[in-house]
Amino acid sequence: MIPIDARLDAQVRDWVLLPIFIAMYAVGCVRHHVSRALNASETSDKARDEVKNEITDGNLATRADRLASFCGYLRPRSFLSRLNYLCDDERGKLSETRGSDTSKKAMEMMSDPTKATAMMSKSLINIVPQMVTGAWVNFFFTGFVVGRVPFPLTASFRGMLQRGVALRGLDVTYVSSLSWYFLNLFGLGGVFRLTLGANEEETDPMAGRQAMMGAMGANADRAFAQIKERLAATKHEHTIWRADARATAILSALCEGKSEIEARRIALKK
Amino acid sequence: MPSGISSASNPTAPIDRRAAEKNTLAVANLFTSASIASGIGIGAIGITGFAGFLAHFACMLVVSGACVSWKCDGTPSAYFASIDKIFIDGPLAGLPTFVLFWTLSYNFCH
Repeated sequence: MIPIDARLDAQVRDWVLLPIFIAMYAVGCVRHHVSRALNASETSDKARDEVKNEITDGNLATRADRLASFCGYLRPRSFLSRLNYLCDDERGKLSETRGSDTSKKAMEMMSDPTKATAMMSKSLINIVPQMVTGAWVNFFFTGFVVGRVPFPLTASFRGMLQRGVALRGLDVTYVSSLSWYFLNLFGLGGVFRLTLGANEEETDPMAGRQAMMGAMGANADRAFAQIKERLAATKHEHTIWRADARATAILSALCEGKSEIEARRIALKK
Repeated sequence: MPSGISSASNPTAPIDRRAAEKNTLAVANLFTSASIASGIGIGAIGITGFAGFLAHFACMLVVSGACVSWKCDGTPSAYFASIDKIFIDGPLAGLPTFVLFWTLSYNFCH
């Protein structure tokens, strides 16, 4: 089969290549803005307060954790004052019980039908425009060669790339509109990231965080109790009294010719 | 504009997460724009086949080198956790975009 080198009409590219490109870009922009609008309208005041409380609790737990890990940097008095603020049995922040309703609330949230539909609509809003555009391209632009791809392809790609073109002798690099659609599908992702900003990523962490916080709310009491135990068990030692020995160790290691990282590792063992 | 994530004099310092994320984003944007330009240019010139991909990788190397020497002041370790982020992740993200614009401009010019 001698590969045939065909000449394509300029009107093909004007009326097919560019319109499909522009249409897919426009559909992507619309989808981006619609998904942002949907996300913004979802949160009510009560939901926002719940999320705020959960984030506050999470931050409190993180702060207490950090206190337990890095207490060596604090003077004894500072450490004790922080410890009292957090762990005092009557007034400590970690002793405030959130009540066992939180665990029930978390279960309800997981099986809440409105949340399920929200998650489903988020995934739908990504899939439906792709399917609709694919159907549109397939309906209007079949049966002819659309353009030529500049990269080499093996003959096995012919079935996928030349759908609807009945010339068996035609070079595989001449493709139909559907392959141009797929090229656009993969390539426009980068263009969207450039033109629409990284907001695509900003909407997702919020959704992930909400789901995570829902699971954490149930464990708030348990998490607080755990951290309280850990704080009660920490033996506080102000590491400034060791700084002298450590500095000596670092300097002697450096003078021996060890690298900075190794010297630091040696010193931390003291 | 990459922001410094850790001082070069203290390599064991913790990495500032927000700055690292900003740097990754900046690199991704840089390589996407470079891929678009490279695709349009290579298609306009008319290079096809593997030579086109080679030309694209050569452009990516030039762009990475320029990024390291101009934007990172020659010390990429101060701005990125590993040099792979500039030289591998960036061009890889721009590859589909390059193919798209390469095809587009090749069809327009030939």
